[in-house]
Amino acid sequence: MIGTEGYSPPEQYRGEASPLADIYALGATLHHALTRRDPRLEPPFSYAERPIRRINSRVSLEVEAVINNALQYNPGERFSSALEMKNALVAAARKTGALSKIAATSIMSAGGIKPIWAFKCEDEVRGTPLVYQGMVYVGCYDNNLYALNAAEGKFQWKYPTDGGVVSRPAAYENSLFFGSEDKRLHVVNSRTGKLIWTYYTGGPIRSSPRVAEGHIFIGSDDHVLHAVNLNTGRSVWQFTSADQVRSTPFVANELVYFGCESGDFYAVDFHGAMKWRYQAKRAVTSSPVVAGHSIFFASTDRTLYCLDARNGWAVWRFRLGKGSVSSPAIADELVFVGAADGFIYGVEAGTGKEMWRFRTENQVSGSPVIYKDCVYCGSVDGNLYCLEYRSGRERWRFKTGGAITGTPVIFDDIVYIGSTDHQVYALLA
Amino acid sequence: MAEFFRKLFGAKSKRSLTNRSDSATTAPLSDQQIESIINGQAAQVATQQLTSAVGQSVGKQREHNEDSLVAITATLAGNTAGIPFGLYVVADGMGGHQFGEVASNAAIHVLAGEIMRKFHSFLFSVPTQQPDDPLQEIMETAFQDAHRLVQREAPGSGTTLTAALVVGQQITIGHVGDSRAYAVYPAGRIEQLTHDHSLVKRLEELGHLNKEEAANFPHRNVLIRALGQGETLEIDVFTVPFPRNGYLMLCSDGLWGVVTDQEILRSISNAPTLQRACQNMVDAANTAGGPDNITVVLAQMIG
Repeated sequence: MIGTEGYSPPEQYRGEASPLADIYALGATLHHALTRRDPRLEPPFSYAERPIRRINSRVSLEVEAVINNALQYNPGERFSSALEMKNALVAAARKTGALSKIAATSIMSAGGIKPIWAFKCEDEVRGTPLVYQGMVYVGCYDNNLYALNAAEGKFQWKYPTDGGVVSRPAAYENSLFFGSEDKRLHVVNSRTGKLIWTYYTGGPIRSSPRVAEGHIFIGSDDHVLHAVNLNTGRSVWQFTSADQVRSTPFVANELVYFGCESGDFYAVDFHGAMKWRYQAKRAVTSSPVVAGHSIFFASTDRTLYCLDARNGWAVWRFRLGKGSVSSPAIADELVFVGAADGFIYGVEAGTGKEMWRFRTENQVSGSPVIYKDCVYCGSVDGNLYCLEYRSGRERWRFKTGGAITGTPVIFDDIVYIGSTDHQVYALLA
Repeated sequence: MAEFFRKLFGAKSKRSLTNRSDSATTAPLSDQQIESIINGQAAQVATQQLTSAVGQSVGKQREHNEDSLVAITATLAGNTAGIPFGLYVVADGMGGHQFGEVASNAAIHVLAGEIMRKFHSFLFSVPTQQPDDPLQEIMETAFQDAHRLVQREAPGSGTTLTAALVVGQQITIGHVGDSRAYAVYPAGRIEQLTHDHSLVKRLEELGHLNKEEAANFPHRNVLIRALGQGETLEIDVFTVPFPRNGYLMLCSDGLWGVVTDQEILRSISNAPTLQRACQNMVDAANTAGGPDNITVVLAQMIG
């Protein structure tokens, strides 16, 4: 027989070698490390009589339970895969707080972090994923919308359109809504990927849909903001702006806010009537966000704007080093935005004063996202950055093989990000 | 059979229950209930109205009034109808300096003039173009211009300057010195919005003085920042929401230095009108000895 006595599971003595044997061996190794009792010197298969915590009381119940499971006599009672065991270990570590210490040291020493999974599409992923009901949905320039299982990154289905998909999908009651450069708003079933309906606009769609009040609001390169009935897919009204609408509308105060490529920024009511308009000097591709009384967006005129959301009066403007298509994120009275000068900025929401700036090695076209005490933002330099949002201090970075132009999505301590290296990554936040 | 009757008359017995509760003695509404009713109504009122009142007194120990004030209340034309507009300014010329009243007077007029010019077309005609300058930049520029003018017209003097520009439901505040802006909330809470640029405040922050020592500090009126003093002037500019169902209050140290927060709250809540509230506060300051000029502006958003 091949194998080390003490580390090898019972079935291996019968000539059965399977991945489940490795799980047993890993459990034995962990047992050895935590108890300092070499299994080769102990009676075979005696782990049940030598519980870890009786020998080393500093081990937590949770970790002991994970190892006990791996050391089950019958292979059928062990973890069914290495991933399952890993998840159990991660869950135990998270519960006991062990993970924070391990994570901190491993990042410092290794200088890089490993993704939980990565999935390769057939072309660049420039847009932003959506996490919905345990699935990750992401559009790709191979014209498909992909559905992956969020835990493992396993392919579930893909839905083909006739153009690149940069639009971030929106979900509502098991339906997914997203635009494509084939000029259509597509609606598919979130479980099966089967088409429900499509809606034609007059130009390629780079805007992302916003679902509110029984309607979908989406911009298009046909200069129009479309309000579409959620169920029937019929146009309810169309608001024609001065130029292509690539920013994603924001709905608040019973108004729909969006910018267009001419620099005009609009607030339109639910009947499609303009409430107010503000003129930036150049394109507003950035998607607005409302917080409190104010609305924030960036422009390629090198400015981050703060307007009064109800009447469109400018409250302050913040000068960026270069133009920006990045959409701001808000937390704790701070506004975060990236710009083409390569910086990620932290600005005070009440005064428009800079709190910090962080230099990346190329343009920041993607948008920041806040999760817990950190801001996450990708850069065209290929890195996803995790910065402490109060100080702008880097906590970690993850290098992808291409520019990041989309926005990370974070759910349940996992960051999902697409890159122009064709891949979608899942990382521990 | 009994079941059948219960079914038939079930509704009736329920009604008699509600009748009983109707005849119960009614309790007065709690503050919380009143507030929720007011809030509920406010949501239905489309337009809002800003009103204001002022109060001023030379006090009982000074011969000159070195305080100056501006209070302008209006509505703006624009792409939405009836945006409330208000400009409220309080300045306290520096006592002991030669041109105290010249400084405060010049400062408020330059500042108010500068700001009103920016809003002229929205106040007095139908605007053809969109508002361009951000409110905070308008405030900053107006302060700097006032600063330069005071340096030129009244050299050696100085003044505090606290300005509140209300546009819609937000207040943009510019501030230098130790006059103050407060948010007064209906539940009886008063919040100081500005930060005093005074020596005593600074020493207190640095931990050299405790609250009691600060209250008895002999040089309470020494400023570390004032308009007209120093080459460059750093101004606090920020934007806050107008206190919901509450008041915006600006005042000079002739009021806040001698009248407690509790007295201010009582003066406001006991008064039938804004004007009477201002008068109550001025009277309270004079009753407390009136050691300095007293100025107060009170603004309220109705609806």
